[in-house]
Amino acid sequence: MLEVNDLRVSFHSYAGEVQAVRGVSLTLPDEGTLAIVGESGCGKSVTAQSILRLHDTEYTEYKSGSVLLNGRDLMQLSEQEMREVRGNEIGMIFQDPMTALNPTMTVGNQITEVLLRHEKGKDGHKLTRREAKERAIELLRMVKLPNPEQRVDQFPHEFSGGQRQRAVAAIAMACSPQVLIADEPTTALDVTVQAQILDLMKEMQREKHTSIIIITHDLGVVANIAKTVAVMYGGVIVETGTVGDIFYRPRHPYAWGLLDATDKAVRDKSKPLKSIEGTPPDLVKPPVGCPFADRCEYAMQVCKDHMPQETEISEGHCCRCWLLDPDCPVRPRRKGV
Amino acid sequence: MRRYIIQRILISVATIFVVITLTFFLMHAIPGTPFNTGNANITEEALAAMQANYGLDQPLWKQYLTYLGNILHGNFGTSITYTNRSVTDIILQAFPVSMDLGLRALCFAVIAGILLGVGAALHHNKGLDRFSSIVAIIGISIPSFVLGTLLQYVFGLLLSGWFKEAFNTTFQLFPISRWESFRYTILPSFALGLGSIATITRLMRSSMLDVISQDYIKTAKSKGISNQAIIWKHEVRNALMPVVTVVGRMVGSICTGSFVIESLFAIPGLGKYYVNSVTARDYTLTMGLTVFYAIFVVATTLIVDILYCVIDPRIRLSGARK
Repeated sequence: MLEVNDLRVSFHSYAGEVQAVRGVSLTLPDEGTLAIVGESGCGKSVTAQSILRLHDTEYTEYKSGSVLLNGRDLMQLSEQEMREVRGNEIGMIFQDPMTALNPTMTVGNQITEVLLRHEKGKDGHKLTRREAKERAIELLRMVKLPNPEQRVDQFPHEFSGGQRQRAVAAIAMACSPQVLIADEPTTALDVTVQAQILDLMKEMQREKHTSIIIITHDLGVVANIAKTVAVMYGGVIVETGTVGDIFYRPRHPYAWGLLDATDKAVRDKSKPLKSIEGTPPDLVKPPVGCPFADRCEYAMQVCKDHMPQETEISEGHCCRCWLLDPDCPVRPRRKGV
Repeated sequence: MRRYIIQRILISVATIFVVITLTFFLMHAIPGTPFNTGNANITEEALAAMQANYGLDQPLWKQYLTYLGNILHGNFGTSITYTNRSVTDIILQAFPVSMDLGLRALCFAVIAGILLGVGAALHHNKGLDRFSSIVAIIGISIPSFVLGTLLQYVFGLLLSGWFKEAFNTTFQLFPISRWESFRYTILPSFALGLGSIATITRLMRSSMLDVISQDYIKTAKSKGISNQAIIWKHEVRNALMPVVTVVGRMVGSICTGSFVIESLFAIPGLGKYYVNSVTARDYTLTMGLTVFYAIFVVATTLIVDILYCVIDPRIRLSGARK
């Protein structure tokens, strides 16, 4: 079980302090799949990478919050202890498979590197290179790469995009981590390959009982793989719930906007796809109120002045919006998809 | 791969041929002959006899063809000024010294340059980075003869004077001339290598900074391996790629020595022969040394390019596809 509580992350840049994540809380049950959705720059990748504390400590400040993995706070661990967690208890898949692999190292060596770091042989001895290579071949077979015995000695440029993402997945899953974080794993791939990678992740989840955090801006991916969803905007989570809650009973105007902007198989093609007007807020000077207020067609004065509190609509379905306040005069409702 | 190498060798041979042709005709275009420089008392008959002896009475195209034929047989001829010494003989005697100096300077430049560049990138915008910038600026802007003279002044006069006063010995830590033991090689190697250190440091630094921000470094970090392993296995190895090409180009020029450094430190290398041969119109020696340098530079470039394929797997493939 992974729990993130009130996580705040800032980057120090020449422009000032960028408050990329402003108090995010998430819960990922064992074998659960949580999708974090939102547009570019809303803080979803930063949240995910903060769980592993991957950011350069020179410019990044973890201002507050805890990341509890089975009750142990990862934010309190030393860098040394954190290295035991990375790749071992939590694995990560990155967005662009074309750049996520070291071009001068064979794929096999990139897999054995993580195995040699964390894994032990059957009787507890250190893994030898030969054993590690055998396991790497096994892993490549698991991610359904044909001819793993040959491919293990090849370099990343000899792999296609989808094959590389399989190799990246093999690295992430090599030590059977409890949690797999996938940062837009399908964004850079074409549609047929996307589905294959998602299937692969689901299969690995079944086999190894891994829980998954998947970051995406593609609601199709969410529908395919996720059980719970967190909608993020301007560094905060504006709505969380099950896939059913978000798709069929969304309560936040931003979630409505996202669903409206999604292309559907059955749609009146004579009308253009709806988009959300405006741009996301500048996180160097984040708004004091609701971050979405500037773009929201229902915005009231209170939205601009005060950040709305989280309101629980049903169990596990929470939303941060002033429209849900008991004193709110209007009650706009929208159906989901 | 084999096709790539054969192709490169053919291009190299063509390059050397062009160098020979150009040098040959340019050299003969310089006014004067080997025999009329500074010696006015020579008789007409003696001059004609000497011209005939060296084949200089023949038309130029004939001389050129003869020269090409001789080169194909590995015969570089005999020197005109150093009578009775063949060009091959001179090269064999003096080149090892030049190459020794060059290799020392190169090793020094590569090791110091890479370490300084890596250090600068890891301490981006901090003390070590600033220091490396200063080294680079000094290395690029101070010519080697100024640096050489300065070093001689400091080590030959200041330090040894101080040594003499303090311990009453004439001991010199780093002697400032001749080429006898390891201690003698330090100053000239440093003077010759500093310019290259600057180039390598700057290149290594920017290349490292580029690699550090790559996604695969994040992948490496997400595996939980140590910072040292990330730096040396992932960052430095990838950052070395552009440096290898530049160092490759340096090998040819730096290993053939430097006339300035050689004369400043009284090192018996090839540089002296080269410059003297031009002023004395010693056609055979000038040609021989030029051809030798050309072959050397072309060969080192070729070797470096092949090594580059070995290091960077992406090039290996594109070579094989052709």
